Amino acid sequence: GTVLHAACRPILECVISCVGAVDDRPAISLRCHGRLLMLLLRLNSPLTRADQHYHETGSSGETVSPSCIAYLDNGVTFVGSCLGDSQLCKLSSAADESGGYVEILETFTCLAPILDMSVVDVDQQGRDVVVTCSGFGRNGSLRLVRSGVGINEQASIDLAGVKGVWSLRCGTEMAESDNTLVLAFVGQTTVLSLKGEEVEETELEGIAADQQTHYCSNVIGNKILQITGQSVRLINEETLQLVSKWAPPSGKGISTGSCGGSHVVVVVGNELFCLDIQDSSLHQLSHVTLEHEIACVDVRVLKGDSGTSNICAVGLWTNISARVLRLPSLDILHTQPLGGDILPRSILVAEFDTRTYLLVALGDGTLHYFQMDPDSGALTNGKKVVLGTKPIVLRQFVSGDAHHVFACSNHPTIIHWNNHKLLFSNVNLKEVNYICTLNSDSFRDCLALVDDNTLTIGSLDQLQMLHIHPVPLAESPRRISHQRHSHTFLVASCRVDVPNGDKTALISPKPCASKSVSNMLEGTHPDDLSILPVTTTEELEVFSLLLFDENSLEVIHGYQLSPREHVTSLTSCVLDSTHYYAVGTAFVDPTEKEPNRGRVLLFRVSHTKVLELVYMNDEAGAVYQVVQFQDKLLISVNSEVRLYKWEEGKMVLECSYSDTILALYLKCKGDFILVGDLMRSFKLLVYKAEKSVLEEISVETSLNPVFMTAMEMIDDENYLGADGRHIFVCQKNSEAAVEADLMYMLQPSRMYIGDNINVFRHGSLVMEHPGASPSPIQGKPIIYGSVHGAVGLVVQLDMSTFSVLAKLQESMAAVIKSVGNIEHEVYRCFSMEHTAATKTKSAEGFIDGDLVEHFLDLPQEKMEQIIKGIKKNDAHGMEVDVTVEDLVKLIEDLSRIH
Amino acid sequence: MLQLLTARECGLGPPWFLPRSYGSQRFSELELSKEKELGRFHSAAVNSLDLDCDGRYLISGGGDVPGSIAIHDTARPAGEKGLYVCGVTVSTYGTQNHTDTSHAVSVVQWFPHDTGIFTTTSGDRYLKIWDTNDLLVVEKFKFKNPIYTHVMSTGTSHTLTAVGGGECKITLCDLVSGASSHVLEGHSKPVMALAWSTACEHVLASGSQDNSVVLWDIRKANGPLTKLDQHNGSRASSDPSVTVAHGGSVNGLCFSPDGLHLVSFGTDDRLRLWDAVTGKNTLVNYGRVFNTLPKQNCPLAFSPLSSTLHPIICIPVGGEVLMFHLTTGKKVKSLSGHFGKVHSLAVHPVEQELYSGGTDANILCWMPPPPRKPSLDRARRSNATGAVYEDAWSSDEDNDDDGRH
Repeated sequence: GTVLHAACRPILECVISCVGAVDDRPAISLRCHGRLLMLLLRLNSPLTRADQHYHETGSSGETVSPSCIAYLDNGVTFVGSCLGDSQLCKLSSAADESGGYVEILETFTCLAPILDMSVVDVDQQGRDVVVTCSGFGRNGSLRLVRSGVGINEQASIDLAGVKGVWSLRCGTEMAESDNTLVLAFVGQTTVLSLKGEEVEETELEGIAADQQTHYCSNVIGNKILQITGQSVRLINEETLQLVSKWAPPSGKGISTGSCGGSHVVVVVGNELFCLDIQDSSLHQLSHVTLEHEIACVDVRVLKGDSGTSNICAVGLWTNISARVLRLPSLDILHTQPLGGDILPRSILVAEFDTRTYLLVALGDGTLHYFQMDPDSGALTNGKKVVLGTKPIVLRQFVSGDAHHVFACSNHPTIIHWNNHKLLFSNVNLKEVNYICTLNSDSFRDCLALVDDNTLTIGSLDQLQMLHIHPVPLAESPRRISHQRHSHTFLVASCRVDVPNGDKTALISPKPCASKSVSNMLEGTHPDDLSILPVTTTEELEVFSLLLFDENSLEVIHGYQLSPREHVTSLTSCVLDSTHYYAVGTAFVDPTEKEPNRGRVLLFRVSHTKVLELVYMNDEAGAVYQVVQFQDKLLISVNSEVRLYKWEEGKMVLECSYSDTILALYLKCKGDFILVGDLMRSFKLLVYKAEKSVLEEISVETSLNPVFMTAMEMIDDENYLGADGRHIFVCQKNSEAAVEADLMYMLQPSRMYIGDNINVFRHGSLVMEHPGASPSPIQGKPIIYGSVHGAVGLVVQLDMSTFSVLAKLQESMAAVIKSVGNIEHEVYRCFSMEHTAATKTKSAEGFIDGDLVEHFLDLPQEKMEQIIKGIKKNDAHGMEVDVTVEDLVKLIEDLSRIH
Repeated sequence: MLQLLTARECGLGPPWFLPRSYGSQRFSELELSKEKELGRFHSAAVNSLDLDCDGRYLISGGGDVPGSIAIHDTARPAGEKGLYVCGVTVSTYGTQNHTDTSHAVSVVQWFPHDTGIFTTTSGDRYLKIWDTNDLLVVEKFKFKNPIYTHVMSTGTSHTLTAVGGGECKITLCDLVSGASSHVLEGHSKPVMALAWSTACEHVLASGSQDNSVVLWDIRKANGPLTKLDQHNGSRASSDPSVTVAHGGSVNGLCFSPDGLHLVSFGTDDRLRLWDAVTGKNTLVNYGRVFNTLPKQNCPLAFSPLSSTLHPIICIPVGGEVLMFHLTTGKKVKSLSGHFGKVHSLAVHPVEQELYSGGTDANILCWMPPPPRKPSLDRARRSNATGAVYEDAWSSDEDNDDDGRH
């Protein structure tokens, strides 16, 4: 109600980017140039003045330009940013040891803005890694985005032929944590003791070292249980003396066994024994003979391992089935045939949150999973998923509070429970044969993993589908390109040098990446170019090229461009069988409307991983794009597309095309060149080698004006584009009835996405599994990166899948209510905002994956209600109703591609 | 440009900034198009022009006797290859079997939502509704006095056409019922200019020979909403009956595409900018703008919404089209090319394209210049002489850009 007339007193020479009120006290926090200030307004004094200010000196992970400040409570403030990670800070009135007033409590990863990205399969495992140029100013960084879970290796030992690994607590000191690893080899067992970070081989008296261990763990009553090929042994934890021993009465060898609570289940051929651990002895409780040999067994471990377990599951040879048995009676509760002729290799009763699942892994890398009723043992909702191509070993482990399952195979996978469904996350390791949890003094919350040659101890990254690793640069990265031949990335980045206090010199802010390169090369202007001189009173953007090692992502070398030269494009190319990085630049004169000078620079990476400038070519404008076209170099200079031959170490102009407003984007495929204009969407050119010309063969006119922000060629005839809010597909009109229409592209698909997409790249974040059911996805998926930091995936679906999903989407939209109850159809429609009458076209040809995936979260009744009336064509081309199972499987398959 | 692109990539500033500032810049650079040339169809003055909602078909009404109407396809060139002559679909007024066709067309207008219907008024004192496909009159309204102007509502809730003429009142004709639904009375002299608000579809502005501009809400039967006062009530003569907007007849009215402003033009050679919400004169000084069409409706045109970072108003003055910066009143450019007076204007709804028709019977297309082909020689030359491009626009942009961070 009261209007305050505040007298202004300059606070600091800075631009205030963001203001937020601090609770009900009359104070506001301001944010300028990465500093957080707090102004306290004194209401009773005639002049309101900056009374107190907090500012921060410890600038670790400081955001440059926050988009919002929200004061929460108790000095805790959320600082949200569109140009880097957001933070939760605590403001205090007294400085801490480092002199800062702000303590960062939590950082929220944000990739925004993604200016460019490179999608490469660095380790050549068939799984692409996305390297994005993210952030702005001092929050600039490269971010490695990969799907799946990473293992941070902490120690590794070369050990060949390990068949199994278990961790134990033992010894007199009664350690709280694990201190021993038991390793099984063929016909023998080795014990490793862990002392701090030292690992050494020892012998434990009670552990049989001359037999192969099938199972080993600490059990109730301070005992250790070891199941070997010959006997079951119970060992005292402290004294390590053998307390009790049980051998099969038939004298046959034990093939496998498991233990849960006080029950031990032992498999001898087709016989199953149930033993009970009592104080210091093993009692046989029951015995059953099944009709087929038993391949694998698991006993259900109750949470908190207090009670006794009451269910065990086995997998059988010959008739390939899984059985659930009651303990200790060993009565068969349920038999589940698995189909096929590949025998089950591992079985596990796993509890996720509130649900119990039975997982059965087959020898061909297939996993069956069923929901299990823990009392009756009944199995329902069976599903199948292919995780790899080799036999899988299922191991349960605990990370944090949750139980997860590790499926060891040639494509190791972690199965975890999230949001009421099982998720399968790839582990970024090549092969794992066996794992166990390890929680020792120096290896907290770790896993011990064995493959054919090594034992690795490592901790698990956060369990999430996408994994983001930052490489901070402290300056803005703008363009990135990868060169497989030299195993490097080249990044164009930009730092802003600001005048010092008395404006006598320009200084670079903070230690940034381009300043930390020791042997930086420096570029110079062309002689005939007179541009505005560099003054010491104005900020200056300085561009540098940084060469990164593809594995370590460390800067190896750099090249600093001449002042006022901006990098506008970057690519890796092969000319005359030599690998180059081609860099397009523009000289920027702030008084000019359009740059009228630029250059193409060709760099070679030498054997010593040093950038060598090989060739320079002057251009009369900004080189917005440089791409390889066959064995030539295609560039766009302002409104012109120019094709250069590479002859005798020189760029020779072959032909050009100039009917565009600004040719910002170029993509090539075969002889076709797709040009993305600033405001005229697509033009398709074809290169005619015999005449040596670029000819326009197709244009897009129906959408104009479209201010393109990114584009990609899906295939020869379909082109994907983005205009800042929508994505759309344009199609070459090759079947038009009228000849005149052949020139004009069709626009079959469009959708609103509400984000400004900066870059499209072909690639896939997940591995394709050979042998998986026929995929509905055609072609290679396209990954996009947006200004708001979103990474998305666009895939092509086959027609039958599309029509089913389109109908599903329609009925889902009617059922699922969005935030704010905005109709899906209205939200996704294509609207021309720049036009006088806001014209809209309905979204077409795209399936909204986010919406369709909601189907999996719906209760069964609702699913059935939704799919009513949706038809699909069966194998004989007949129209049949889809079933819930079909759809769930389809959508689960699709949700696994991201 | 490079800075704008970088800002867009980094997400600095709003996403519409680049399109709108670039659109504004292009609109301010309009010049006689070298590539688009419209076929000469009319034999006398081109009295009226209108582009359809998609900006593809241009309809023109000629002052020939008998009157003629032409529809031009501006998107695809017809005729000989390489010649950018736009196709002409001909409809001659005279071919219609009416007794009173010997009159020039004064206003022709598309139905605002598609090209199925257009309306004309002419010296025969009829408002005619045409079916475009059959080129036949499907409905007509007879008036006793000459008609100066008519405008169709762009709204979707009603299909009223307001007609202003010598009767000192505004007649609203309903295309659905074929009857004139109501009459707005309040002017004391003939109504020469009409405009529907682009923000509120029930609001109509009218300008009359009695020097006043009146805002109406057509749902309000008992009188006008407000009468615009050029002095904002500061003059002593606070008698509402003599409140005037201009010192002469008001013969041009136009709402800005965002509906926030109204521009009026009078025979006192003044252009006034009004706040459409409050009805206050914003007192922007455009200088003296000669009113060369005092006896008829003078068409005004705004730059399209896609160019509204620096909105521009276009006015035909003599043989030229003058472009003024809306908010500062500065003259941006004058487009000269006609050999006679300019009688009609049409602006493309999206693109930076302007069409003008004159007494020389020509329709001219004004477009931004094609991008210069980059040339290294020229770049070297200009650098060597230290020439700096004089362009007020780019520096404006830079300032805006900076202000935003």
